Amino acid sequence: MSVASEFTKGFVKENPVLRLALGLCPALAVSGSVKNALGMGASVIFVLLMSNLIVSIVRKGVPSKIRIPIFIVIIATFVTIVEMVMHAYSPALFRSLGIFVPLIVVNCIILGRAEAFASKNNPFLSIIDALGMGLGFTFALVMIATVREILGNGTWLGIQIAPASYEPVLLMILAPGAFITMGFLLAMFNWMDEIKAKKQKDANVAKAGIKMKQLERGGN
Amino acid sequence: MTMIRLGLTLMLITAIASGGLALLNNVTAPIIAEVERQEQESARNAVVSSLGGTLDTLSTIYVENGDTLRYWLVRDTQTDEVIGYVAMAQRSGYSSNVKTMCGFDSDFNVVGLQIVSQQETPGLGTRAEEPAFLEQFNGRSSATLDVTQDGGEINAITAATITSRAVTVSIREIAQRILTAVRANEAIANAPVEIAEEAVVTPAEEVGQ
Repeated sequence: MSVASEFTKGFVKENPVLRLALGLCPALAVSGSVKNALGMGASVIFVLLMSNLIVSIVRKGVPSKIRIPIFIVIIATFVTIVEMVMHAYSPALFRSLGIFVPLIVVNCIILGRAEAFASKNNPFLSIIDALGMGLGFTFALVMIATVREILGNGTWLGIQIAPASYEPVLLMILAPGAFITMGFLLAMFNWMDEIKAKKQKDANVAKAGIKMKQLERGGN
Repeated sequence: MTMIRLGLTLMLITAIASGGLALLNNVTAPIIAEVERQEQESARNAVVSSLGGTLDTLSTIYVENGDTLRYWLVRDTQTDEVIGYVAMAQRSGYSSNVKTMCGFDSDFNVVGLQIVSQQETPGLGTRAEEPAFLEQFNGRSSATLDVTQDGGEINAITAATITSRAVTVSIREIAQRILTAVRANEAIANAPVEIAEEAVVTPAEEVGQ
């Protein structure tokens, strides 16, 4: 795979949340507002980037029997760094993300990428993979949060966009709203895939048709 | 043999990780403490700003049945008379301990409130921080605070009655505790002269020796 496709695969083709269905806990829990989604996305990008980089660097020295505990220690270290730095320099964000910052440790996207990618590829490609996956995760979170915040609160990133007469749908802010939104987004992604596959098929059929005609003509 | 090698590898990795974190913690811990102190101080100042007095920098501590109550006095800038009190109320809400900085005037009417920390349901309980909810307490007597569901006059946040009740009840309780403490301190201050003399004499004697 080329560098560019390693980077872009995280957005649509292998989007961690919407295609691989990984990291659903934070995707459901902190997608009630766009601000929280961006904060969580940035934290995950940092942790993913650093853990992928370190795992990739030490990949040859790590005995395969204890690779998982080693990866987890590396991940937990960077999560704790994020937690301490955020608490010290951005207390407001730290307060609104609350328990979900330490829970990044168990976000399966991060361990998943360490195990599936960084432990088998060089540091450069691992960084590209981390950036793509991290941004793809953030992209998915912001999409869910956009739907939930607009419907559930009438705002986007704290800016009032629905008319004052709009009665917010409380359900969308609550946990069920996250599941419903996510269901629709997953359906949309699958549908887009189907259309793409169909187009491909149609194109193939058309190509084959032209070939047949050419053959027929040739025969005449 | 391999067991020992694996163990040592893990130990090395965890040692590096914890060493690094310890170093970072040295840097961030004082900043975090300072941030929290400033947050609480600005909350204290904010809740009594309408009284116009000055806030005592030192808190008053009152221990009753092993429970420590910490509160701050607000004094009139000119006469030094106590015109209000500040304390942090807390009570468990729906999913967290809701801490509220409360300001009272000398008659224990609410003059200002600020939620200092909470981890309630985002979009529901967290709305207790909004002025729309907190402003309805202003000027009310703390002794009769209750949400409408419990027969009071405080309109709870839609779908967050538990959080609203936690805030309301915690304010009422802290006001009662401050009142008890203030009365107890007054009783000490008005105690028979004998005790007061003793308190004055003792240090003098010490100096003499």
